[in-house]
Amino acid sequence: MDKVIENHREDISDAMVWSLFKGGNDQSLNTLLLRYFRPLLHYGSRFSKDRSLVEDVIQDLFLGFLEKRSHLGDPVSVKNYLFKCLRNNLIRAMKEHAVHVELPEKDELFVDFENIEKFLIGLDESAELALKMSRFFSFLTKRQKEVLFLRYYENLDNDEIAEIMGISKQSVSNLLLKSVNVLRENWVFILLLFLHKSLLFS
Amino acid sequence: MLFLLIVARNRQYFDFMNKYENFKSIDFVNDPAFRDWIFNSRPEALLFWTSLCEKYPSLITEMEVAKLFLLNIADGHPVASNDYIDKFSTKILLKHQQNTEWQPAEPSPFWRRYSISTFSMAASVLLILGFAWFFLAKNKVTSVSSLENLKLTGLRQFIKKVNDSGVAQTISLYDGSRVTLQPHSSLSYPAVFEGKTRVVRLEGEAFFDVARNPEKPFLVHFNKLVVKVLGTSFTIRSFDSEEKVQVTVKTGKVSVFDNEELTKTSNEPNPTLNGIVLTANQEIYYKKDQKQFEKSLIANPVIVDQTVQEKDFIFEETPLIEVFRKFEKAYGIPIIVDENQVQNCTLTASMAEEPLPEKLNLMCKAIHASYEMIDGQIVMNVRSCKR
Repeated sequence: MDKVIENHREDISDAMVWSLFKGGNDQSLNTLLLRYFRPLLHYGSRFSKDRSLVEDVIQDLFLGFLEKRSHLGDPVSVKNYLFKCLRNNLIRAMKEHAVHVELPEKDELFVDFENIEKFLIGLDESAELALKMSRFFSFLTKRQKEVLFLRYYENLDNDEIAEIMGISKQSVSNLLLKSVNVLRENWVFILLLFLHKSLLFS
Repeated sequence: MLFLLIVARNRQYFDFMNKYENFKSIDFVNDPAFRDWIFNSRPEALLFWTSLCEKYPSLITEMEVAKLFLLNIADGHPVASNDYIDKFSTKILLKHQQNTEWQPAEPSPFWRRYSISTFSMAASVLLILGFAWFFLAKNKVTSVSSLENLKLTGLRQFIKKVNDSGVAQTISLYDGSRVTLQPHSSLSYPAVFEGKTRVVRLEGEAFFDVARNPEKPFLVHFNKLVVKVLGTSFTIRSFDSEEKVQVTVKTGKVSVFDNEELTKTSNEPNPTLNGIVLTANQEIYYKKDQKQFEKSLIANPVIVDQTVQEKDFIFEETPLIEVFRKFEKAYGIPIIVDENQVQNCTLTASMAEEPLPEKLNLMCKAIHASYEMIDGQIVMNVRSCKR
């Protein structure tokens, strides 16, 4: 069996690798990590910028899997399962380590659009669009950024996101809608106005 | 026909573009193809998106906004090489091994007793103390050494992996090296390489692909011999049941020593060892009874220089000395030749897929020469090529 996944061939499904792992194949751990270490690290960095902490949690996660490998279930999506476990363990670890952890935020809490407009108008006209966008993101809550990441970077649907984050599907679409509306609503218009002006004058 | 096909494809291409004509930034964000381009920066997608911009210049700002939005979502890409991930998974496996080997004793029902009654707790404390005293008094010496053992067993403990199965097994070591262990063979290695060297012990046959680290030589002990490398790949075959020991080098350079000699000289500051250096495509046999090394070329040497291609073995009026250098470079095998003998010789020949011995035979026929393989090297004997 070792030979089969020796080269981490992509045509071997996650489910297959997972069942090899459950069956005691050590090489499959390597395959799983080659596939998902980077995505997990990336997702984990949503919660903590302390990379070593995230790596520790990933390590403990897989150590836990090894310990109970024969009793593991068969998740529909291995990736989503790993994401969910990482999320839970990481949040727990951050609480334990007493690392400054943001308390669960209210879903309703969001940027005050009026303030944003003021903020944008107050900006130097020559300020770049990129700066404005990153400023806008600094207004978003961690949960909003997390939903955006899972939806648009990881291409997950609302059901999957709800499952990973342990919230209702409705909350997911609320969070998404509010964050994305920003592109539809007025402030983008203002933003673009600035852009054209600055282009004109540059 | 081909032309028609291209036209058809292009039309499709532009029909597809129409879809984007009235797109706003939010639509681009929601478009999987656009996201794929932004996040995975595929070069083949670039053409499409730039031609879209050319066709509908008004989309540029919308795309720009969408791109910035998406880049803020991805926010930072943690970098981790495959090598790093390999080490990471090895570390997890080793930790797991240690956890299972050193299972902590079952938690004692100490607490439960405490909650039931202080009296029984006191009794159990007395009992434990009594046992402890008894144990310590009786095994004072052994208890100290076992404590030290415990400290040592942490990470430096050697793990012995035995391959009882019928197929080769690959072991990843802590430093990123990989060992392919053949059936009926075993490898002992520490969970973590500490100190100035990386030491493992082999019984049987294995292929080593050693991660390069000039500061920490990699030593393989086997059957009274030691192979020392900095980073290379090679095979060792050393079964107790066989008379000979064989070391074959695939890439790089390895030195083979007699273990006795290595330990004898280990206290000297600059030991000069009577080891044998092997390079790619060479192998040695060590006859156990005679304690003698015998160096030779492997039966079918392979090209070790990745920059050399098959077409490089096509020669047209090429000076012979250049031909030899090409062979040396490609196969990593020294060719010994008297340069005066071949000064004005040239070679015109086309060789590609033939194995090295056949290439040499072909060449020898063309220039009326002969060759010998001595001590892992090729010695050319060119009689005369002057016309």
